[in-house]
Amino acid sequence: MVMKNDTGTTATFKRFSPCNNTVTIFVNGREIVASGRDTVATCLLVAGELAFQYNKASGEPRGPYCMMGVCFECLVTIDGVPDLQACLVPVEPGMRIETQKGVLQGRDT
Amino acid sequence: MSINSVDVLVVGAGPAGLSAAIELSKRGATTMLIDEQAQPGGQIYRGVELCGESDRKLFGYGYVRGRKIIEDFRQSPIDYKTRTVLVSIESNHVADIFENGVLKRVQAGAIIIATGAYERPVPIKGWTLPGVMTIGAAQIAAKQASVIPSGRTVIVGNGALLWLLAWQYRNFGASIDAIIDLGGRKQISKLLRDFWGFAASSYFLDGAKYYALSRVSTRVITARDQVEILGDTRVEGVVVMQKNGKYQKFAADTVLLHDGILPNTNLLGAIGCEMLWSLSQCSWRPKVNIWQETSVSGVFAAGDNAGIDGAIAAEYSGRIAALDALRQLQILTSQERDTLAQPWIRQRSRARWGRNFIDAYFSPSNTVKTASDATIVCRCEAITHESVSAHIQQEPRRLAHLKSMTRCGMGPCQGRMCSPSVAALTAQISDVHPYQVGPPSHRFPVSPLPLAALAKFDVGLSQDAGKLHE
Amino acid sequence: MSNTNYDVIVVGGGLHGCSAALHLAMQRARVLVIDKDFSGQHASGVNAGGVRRLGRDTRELALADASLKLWNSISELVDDDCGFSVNGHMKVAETEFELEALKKRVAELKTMGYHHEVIVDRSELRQIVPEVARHCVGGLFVAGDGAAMPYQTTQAFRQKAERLGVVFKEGVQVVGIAKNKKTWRVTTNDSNEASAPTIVNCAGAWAGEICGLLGEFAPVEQVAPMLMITAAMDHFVSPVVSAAGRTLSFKQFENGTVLIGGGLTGYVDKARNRAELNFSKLAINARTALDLFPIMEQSKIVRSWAGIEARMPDDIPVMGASSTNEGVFHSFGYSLHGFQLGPISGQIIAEAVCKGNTSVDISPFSINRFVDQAR
Repeated sequence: MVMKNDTGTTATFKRFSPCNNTVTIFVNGREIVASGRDTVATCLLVAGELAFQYNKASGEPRGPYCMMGVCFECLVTIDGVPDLQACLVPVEPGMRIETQKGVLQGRDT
Repeated sequence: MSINSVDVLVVGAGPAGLSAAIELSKRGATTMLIDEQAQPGGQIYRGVELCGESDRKLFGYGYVRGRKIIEDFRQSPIDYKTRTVLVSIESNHVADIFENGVLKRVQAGAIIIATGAYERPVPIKGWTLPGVMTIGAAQIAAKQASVIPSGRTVIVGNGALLWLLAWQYRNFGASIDAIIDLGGRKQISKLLRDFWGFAASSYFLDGAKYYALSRVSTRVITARDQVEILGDTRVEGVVVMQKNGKYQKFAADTVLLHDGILPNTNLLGAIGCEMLWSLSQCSWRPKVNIWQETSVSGVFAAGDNAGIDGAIAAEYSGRIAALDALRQLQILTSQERDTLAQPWIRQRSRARWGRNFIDAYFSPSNTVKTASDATIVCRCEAITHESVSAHIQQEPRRLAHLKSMTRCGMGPCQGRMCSPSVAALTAQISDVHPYQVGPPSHRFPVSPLPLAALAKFDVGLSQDAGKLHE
Repeated sequence: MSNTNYDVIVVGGGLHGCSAALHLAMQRARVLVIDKDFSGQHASGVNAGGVRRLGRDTRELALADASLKLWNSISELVDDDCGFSVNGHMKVAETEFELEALKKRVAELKTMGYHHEVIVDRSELRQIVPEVARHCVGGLFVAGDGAAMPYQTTQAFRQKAERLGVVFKEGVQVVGIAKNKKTWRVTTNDSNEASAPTIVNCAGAWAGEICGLLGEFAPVEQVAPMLMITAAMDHFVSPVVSAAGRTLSFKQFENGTVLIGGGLTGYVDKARNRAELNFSKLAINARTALDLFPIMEQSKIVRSWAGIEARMPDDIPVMGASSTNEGVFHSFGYSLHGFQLGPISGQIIAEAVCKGNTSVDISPFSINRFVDQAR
């Protein structure tokens, strides 16, 4: 069963244990209360984001696959810096995260 | 810019790296430990410091053990750099590290590389869809921030970790709609030979418990042929195609994949360490001596990146590498090293008991061999099974050739997500053994490096060294 | 122990070796190519792929012009487009002083009858390279230059040669060369022998060692020019860009990745047969790229590498007949800019071997120029 989270978007991830300390961050401009233990990737999953970026070669949506820094699929823009691995970055208060919707405007080969 | 000098640089804060660093600092070696993650523990002990005690127990004994190592580590005088990656190693143990947006040079007396393992890629149709992740990824989400799937969850794969996660998910109250077992039929006669080592090992009781409990409480389907993930822009379900032509379909919001784990050898490969093919684990690993030293003098590989032996063996291999590094630094004599190492070498062997059985029981399915044409093999460059196969058929040759011709391995992941599949596919199509395809060619920087950070890198060469004339 | 007879044995399976083998096979010669590693493993497979006349040594221009003709119909030669495209080469001047030097070069070329290099001013530069840094004052442009995919090209030459009957032996090293009457006997480290009346030395960085086996001297330096490549970016530059006053070669591929190089060298690890990088020198390259292209501010380096190449003291290759041994021809030492000459070098060698004279004058490249040094 898919549950709605507090922001009304459909999330397919939840927490099995309550957060002891929380931080407030912004995901695509939306205010999100994250766990102090979160990485950007875990908090985005709970916030209902599955597609973090679009593949530069094919334009397909991609989301976190390995969660440990080896697959490079969870790239997001954090505080204006693009292509950061969401699974390696801990959340910090006030952090601004954008998922990367832009498809590369390169010429096809 | 001054160049930082240390006795030993340790890369990776998992059980091997932590144990090595503790041992080194205890015996007076100046030690720097760098790690990509924000907290120590590697993947196996991910988040164990911040995880509440009652939650910690839900992951099982194998997780709780990490707390003690990290406590020891925290009390040791180690220069610990989090969120720091190794960019390159030049000769004479000169290492360039990327920390806090700055590229810095470290001169080390010896280097211990403990970059652990990652999961073998599971290329099946639809595996790139958002909502598909690995079993290990699911475990990391749970350890890191108690995050579990809330929707319909289907597990597809093969391997010990799969059954451990299924047991852990029971403890968290996460439901699993189905486990699609890709393990296939087991050859009992082959397994029997290794069974007694397994029965005497620490894996036996726990492993049997996880396996049995999960099998009775969850719907388990043994896949006999292709499995595909359905969905357009995100996961919608899984379909299992049986040999008898019947299709079985499961709706899913999350799909978790697994096909065993591999040594993470990109850094070792880029340094130029000689690689060996492991027949039992179907993967490349660095050639190491009894002290875990690679073919490059003073460069050690400890823990799972030297071959999958598990967390306990990793602790001992880290300590053993540390002892020989201390000997090379002339902090210990050969005799002192040998005396100290003796019990640990025994413990390391003891910790490897049962591994052969696990390797044989969960021998990789290599889903790429049965994957359909449109299945993506190289995720970074979105290269399909059909396209890779065409190149192999045209000229079946070594992996380095296929990389240049197909671009598989040229994206940011540098082949971690495709080279095992390309090698397996080449072996299958050209009817050669996977080792004949050769190890992947890894390059520095092992992780992408901002050009601007490289531009600011200055180790004292003249600013004008790039000028031809004025 | 097998002994096989050929018309020509080519030592070295890089682009120049494959090209020589192909052109010889087109003259119906029976050819064996021996490579100690595999075809295209070193310089030929991992270079920047520039098909450039811009800035070339004037002694090489006739050869480069002839080669460009072959490039422009490369599919007819090797049945593969080699990823070749013509988007021009631009050498950027950052100061008026540099621009003056470029103008002098153009004037010198004109006196020799070459008109391919054209001076562009500040605004023309920006039309052709819109993202170039504001301080750049102009440049030197060759519209007809281009770029190709080096590994694909080497493979295309190799495969076409194989289709014409050339035999490739890879992973075996030449360890002995001896003459028996009019026939050369080549021994390899797998205890095999092959013989032929003619040997062509295309051994690149290892050509000096082959000369050594023949008792001839060639001052070949082994160098390891470095390259790095970024993650894909939106398309912003078409020509290959270099700089008048600094080491740079800068190219964006069709897939958006940007290749940065230009000739700064790493280290050659001879014992391990590999090239090692020098990141403090790559940093210089990175600074130059950022200085000339501010758009690179947020780009990321995904990979870097170096290939082992041959460099001669005077930076021009050795081509033509041996000074000491009848039936031996050389084609090596292209000194970091041999890729463009690949298609023509094989044709010239085939002419020298089969006819005894060449359609382009190669006397400046004779190995005789080092005879004095040998003493």
